[in-house]
Amino acid sequence: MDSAIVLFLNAGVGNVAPFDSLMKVLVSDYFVPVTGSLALVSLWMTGTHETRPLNQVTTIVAAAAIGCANAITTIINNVVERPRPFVDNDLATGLFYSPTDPSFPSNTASVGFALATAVFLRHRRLGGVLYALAFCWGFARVYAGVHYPTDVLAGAAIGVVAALAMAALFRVLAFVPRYALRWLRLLYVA
Amino acid sequence: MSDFEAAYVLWVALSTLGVTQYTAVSSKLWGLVVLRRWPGVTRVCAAVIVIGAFAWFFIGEDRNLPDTGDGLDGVEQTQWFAAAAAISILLQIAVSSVVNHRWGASHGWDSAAERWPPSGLTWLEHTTFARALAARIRAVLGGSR
Repeated sequence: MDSAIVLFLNAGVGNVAPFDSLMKVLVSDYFVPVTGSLALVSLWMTGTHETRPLNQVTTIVAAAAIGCANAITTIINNVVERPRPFVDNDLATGLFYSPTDPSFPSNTASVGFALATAVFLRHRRLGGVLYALAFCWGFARVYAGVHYPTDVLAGAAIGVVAALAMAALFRVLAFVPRYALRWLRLLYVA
Repeated sequence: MSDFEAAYVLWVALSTLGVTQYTAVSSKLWGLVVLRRWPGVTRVCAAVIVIGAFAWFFIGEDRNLPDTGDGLDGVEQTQWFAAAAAISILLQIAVSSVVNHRWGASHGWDSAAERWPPSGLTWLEHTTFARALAARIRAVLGGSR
């Protein structure tokens, strides 16, 4: 089933040039991470005297969630060691380079969904946009033949769980960001 | 620094410039806005800079380089992003403080009335970063004043 979906989607590569160009940008290691990071920079500054500290805590939670999701994914990558789809199937690989690390779970999906979930907990609209970007990133990876759908689903689940866990942790340890922000406010950077 | 790293840093720095200026106008942080008298122009310029930077980075050249080769892995990307964004924001702070130095003078903190100047980004609605930080340093050095 997993291979069938990859083969079906990857068969579209080379048919519609503008769509492939779009996928080439979305599948990249840089487009979604930089867009998401710029969203966090903006979120840090956005708001009023009352709402800005909450946005800044959200930014800290999102950064922690990304780190946590990345760590969990790396550990599972080393245990499962599933080969990439293009290794086991005859796929068109022109959209992306051939990664050498294990396929399961998708690190891109875990990072994208961790960021989106952390932001969505406070900002539904911005979080929704980031969810859409994370979904497109995962889809593009399957389309390009560098991930199976289950890699992306598992990565997304890890990202969501990591973000919820970090949000809960920072609710318990609320004094940590509050204390850090108090000092940063004295320097006018928070 | 490789050509790709230089391109990545320039892309991030320009995008950060656009995003920061747009957000500063939207959040009324006038002390950070370089073109403070023209918020509409600032918004348009900021949007053009961000879109232009993304277009320049992705159109024309294949940016999908192996992260084990000429591309950037996750750690390198984080480090270069942090450096580029920090440089961009520091430059904006410097330029906006210089350009708006007269404006800050008439909207600054009254040291005679209060011991400690207001803290936080919100204070940049009323003065420049340089003026706010200078007032803070003076208050700290002044001790019991």
